[in-house]
Amino acid sequence: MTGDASAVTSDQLTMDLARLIVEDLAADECEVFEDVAADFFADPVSVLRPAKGEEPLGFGLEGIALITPFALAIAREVVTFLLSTVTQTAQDQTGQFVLRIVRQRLRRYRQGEAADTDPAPLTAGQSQYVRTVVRDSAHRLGLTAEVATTLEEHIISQLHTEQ
Amino acid sequence: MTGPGSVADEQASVAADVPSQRVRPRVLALPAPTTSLFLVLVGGLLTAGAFAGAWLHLMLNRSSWSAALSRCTDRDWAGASGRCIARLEAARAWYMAAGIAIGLIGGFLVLLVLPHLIERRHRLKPLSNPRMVDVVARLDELTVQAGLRRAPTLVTTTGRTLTDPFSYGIPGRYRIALPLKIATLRKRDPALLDAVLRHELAHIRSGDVTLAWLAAGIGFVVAGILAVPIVASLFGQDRSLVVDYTWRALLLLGVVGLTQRTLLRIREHEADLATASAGTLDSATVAVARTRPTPAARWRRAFRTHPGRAERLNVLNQPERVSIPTFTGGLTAAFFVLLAAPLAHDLLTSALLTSRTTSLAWPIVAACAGAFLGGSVGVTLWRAAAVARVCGTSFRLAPVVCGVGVGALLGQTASLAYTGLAGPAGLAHIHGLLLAPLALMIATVPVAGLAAALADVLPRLHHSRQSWIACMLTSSTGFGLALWAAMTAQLLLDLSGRDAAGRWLFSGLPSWSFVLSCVVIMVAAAPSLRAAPSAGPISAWLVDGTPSPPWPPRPVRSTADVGLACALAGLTGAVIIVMVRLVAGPSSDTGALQRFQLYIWIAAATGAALALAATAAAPHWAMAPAVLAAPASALIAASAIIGINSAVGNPLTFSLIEQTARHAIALGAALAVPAAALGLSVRWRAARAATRPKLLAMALGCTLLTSLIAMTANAALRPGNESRSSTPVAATALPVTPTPSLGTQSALDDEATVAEDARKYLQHVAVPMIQRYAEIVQALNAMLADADPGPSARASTIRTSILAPLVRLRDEMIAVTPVTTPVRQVHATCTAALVATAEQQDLWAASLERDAPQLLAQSKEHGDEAQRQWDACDRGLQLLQQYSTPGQSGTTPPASSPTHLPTRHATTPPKPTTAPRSASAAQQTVAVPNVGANPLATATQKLAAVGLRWNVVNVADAVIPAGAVVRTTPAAWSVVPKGSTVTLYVSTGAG
Repeated sequence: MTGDASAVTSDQLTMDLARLIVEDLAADECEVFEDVAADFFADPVSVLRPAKGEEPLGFGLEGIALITPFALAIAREVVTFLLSTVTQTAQDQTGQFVLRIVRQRLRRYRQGEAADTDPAPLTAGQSQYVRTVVRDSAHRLGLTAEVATTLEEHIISQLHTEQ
Repeated sequence: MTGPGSVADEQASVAADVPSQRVRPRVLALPAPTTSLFLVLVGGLLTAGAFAGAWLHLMLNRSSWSAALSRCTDRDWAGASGRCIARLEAARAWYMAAGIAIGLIGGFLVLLVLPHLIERRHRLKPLSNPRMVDVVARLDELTVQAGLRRAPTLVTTTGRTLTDPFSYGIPGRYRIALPLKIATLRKRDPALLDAVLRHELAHIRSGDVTLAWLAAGIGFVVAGILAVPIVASLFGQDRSLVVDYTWRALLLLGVVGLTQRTLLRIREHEADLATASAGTLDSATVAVARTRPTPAARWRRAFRTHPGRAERLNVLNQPERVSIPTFTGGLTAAFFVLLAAPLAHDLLTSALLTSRTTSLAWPIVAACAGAFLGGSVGVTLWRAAAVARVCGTSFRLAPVVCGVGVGALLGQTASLAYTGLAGPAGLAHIHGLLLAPLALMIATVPVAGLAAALADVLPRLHHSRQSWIACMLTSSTGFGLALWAAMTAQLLLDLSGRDAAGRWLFSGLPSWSFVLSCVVIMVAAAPSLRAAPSAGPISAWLVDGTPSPPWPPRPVRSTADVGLACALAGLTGAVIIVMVRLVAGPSSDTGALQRFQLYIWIAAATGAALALAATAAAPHWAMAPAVLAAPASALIAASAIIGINSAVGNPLTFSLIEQTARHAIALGAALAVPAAALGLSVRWRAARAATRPKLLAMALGCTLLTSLIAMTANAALRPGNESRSSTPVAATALPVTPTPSLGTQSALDDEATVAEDARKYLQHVAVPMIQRYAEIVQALNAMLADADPGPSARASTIRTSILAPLVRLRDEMIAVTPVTTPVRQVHATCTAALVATAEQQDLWAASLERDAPQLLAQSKEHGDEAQRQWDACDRGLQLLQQYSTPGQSGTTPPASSPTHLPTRHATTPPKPTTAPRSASAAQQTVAVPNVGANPLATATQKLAAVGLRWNVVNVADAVIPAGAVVRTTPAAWSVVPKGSTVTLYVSTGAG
């Protein structure tokens, strides 16, 4: 898989997974998802940089933040892992092929698309690794354990895993 | 993240505190004092810029300033020198004004730049998502509802840097930064979006955005300016001021930061209330419940710009909480006012020196400071009183009174104006430092009483404007008078001792300006009597919800009760005065003034008694009638003085009436303030159920008691009761004032500098002054030689030939400010002698014009005072002559010297010794001592002490008592060879 193709594939998969998360956890944010995602892929560091201190004349709200940047950041970590599992086993490593394979590991897309290769579900070890990736990412982003657990369970539920 | 359980707990806790049936006051219908507090803060910061300007002036012009000042003092001191120094001071004033201007302009520039920095920091951009046009439309609707003409721009970001909405911008171009999350929630939770937008619009409408960011901008600029001297000192050679300056600068910036946060927290509460008022209480409560929790540690709350969730919910449910006066509110207002006042005075004095109107500096500063305190503390108390009246509750006054005291003490001590001076605030007597805090604390109590009285008329008004403007006027005038009196007394105390400060109470305080200020307060307070409400319903604009509960009735039935008590107290005072006259008998000529003072003190005490009784009987509203009735009561009592005067056959003159009325009103009002403070503070059991008989009984009892105290106090304050030496100076002619010295004073007082300064002073100031004074005395003797020109002609001669040159001489002496401390002390004494002499002549002329024996008695009193001052001046000049003589320059200044007052030219480096010595001529001659009005024995002792001989000639004189010296030939202060003979003209009486 070439670098550009890999990047495109990764970004598309990240958006797919993040959109799934946002649609389920914060459907209100769908109308701004494209805007946030565009800014995120352009400059992820700035989008994810946390606020510092209080501004005078603010309202003082707490916990009012978009989920979308977090979803995008965590989704990118998960997608990176998923891509690595596919590229290690697949012979045809073109972008579109990998994209289809990974998408078919997402339950929602698996139901809607014809399975080309019928990839194996994630093993228990891989699933556990995904959980670890989500928890670590959430911790880095400063999310609370409660939110991290919610995201973790949600992402796992979106993946095609061994029963 | 705090779980919802904790929010519910806080809400439950708040709900438990709220009574089920209670009045909900419309706090926002009453003006907020925080705007004034913001202005006080900005003013304090800007005066720090003035200090930086003065410092820069010193650094840039140190050598040229020294040379210029030296050139100035080498000129004819009487004319060119004063103008020359005034020009130098004007240059310094320009630097100070430039420091203020830089702070102000810099603050505005920061205000302009800040929006761009904020947008860059948060990556903000206008909300342009076409799916969110309804958000912008909603903002437009709410803008119209809020009464704003132009809707702010909505900006947002997709990043995490914006999680809390806030407003910023410049006037006319405000912006609201709205987190995208809130916009996305608008369909599911429209109340949150509305609450947030209403909250920010409330900030914009009340001017918070401009005030808060401007204060922050000026803070940034002034912090930078204040850092320059520290950095320059650290890299320079002179680091003596680093510590003294740095702690003041850090304290200033620290208090500024804390004050900004305190004000912002109050503004948040008010924005919450506006949100609830524009929408619904429930929606506002739900939105506020999603805000950050209150920190557990109390100290952390002080550093936050937002109040905690529980506090906000409390205020939403009980709006009256936001109006409660706090210790912090009083402290910050008084701190900044007292911090800025000395610097403002310094600037004004420098600026006014050219026009020789420096005596206006303190009154102007006091008036401005009073306005700031009235707008902040006064309005706070008024609003608290109005809300408490609506809710039927009360609030504690002690915290704000203590806050004012502590703030004034801290502000005065930490003022940059006193950097480098020895002693706190540059004072030699540390107890003088307590005068301003005490005066302001005492004044706060009656201001609170007046505020309550004026708030009591709100039900009769359709808008609060009339009431709060009257309150601001009265409280500003009251605070201004208190500060002026305290600072004047502080100067006198430090300069001349307790004796002079006590005498000033009778001679300086009862000025017409003071009386007119009292009249302003009385007029402003008068509407509270006229509009006394009956127990009707509370006006709808004051409360939320219907039906309105009834307005609580007044504890005393009518104003007539206080009027009756006023008459009773006044008549009792009059009777006491008559009894004193009958028991003590007629006064001697020399004792006439003391007797007049005693009568006035008794009259003033009746005013104080009435204020005490009225405020104790009806603390919620009686302050206003007490303010009106106290001077009236004093006037009634003082009418006995006129009655006695007429009864013994003296003519009734306008002068007698004017002086009696002026002193009675002024001192009656002045004494009424602490008396009212006592009455409002002490809750007597007998006063709880006040009735007319109880009020009258209290007025009678208090009058008897305070009259007794007045008689005792009059005896205690009489000059001469103080054991230590003192050099009283009239308040109208304070020659020196506290100004920054930047720590060079001690370096200036080395022996060589003192010797040089003394030599120059003798040469350029003392000798010319003595010569000119001798000419004046010769003119006086020539006038007295005229047998009987008639009172009018003599008065005219006094004013034209004696008083006019005397006043010119006095003013020129006032404009002189020697460099070193010993010389300044002597100069202050000689100036005080001229002041007292001028007052003596003025009173004498007035007594002749108006045929007023009281004025004549006062003239003699001032004559005695002048004589004491001339004696002290004489001793001081002899001492200076010793300093200036080679071989004796090591003589230390007198240990009993009462003054150590910083002066404007304390910043002046030592002057080079370029002028030739000429004081040696004075060593061969002596000045004839001023022995006028002295008994013959005393006069001869003084002549002998300086090596002069004398002969005696008896003359008839209606003014000078028999046996006392009328005049001398040669005249006093004439420079004559040692051993010369002086002719003493001794009075044989009226003949």
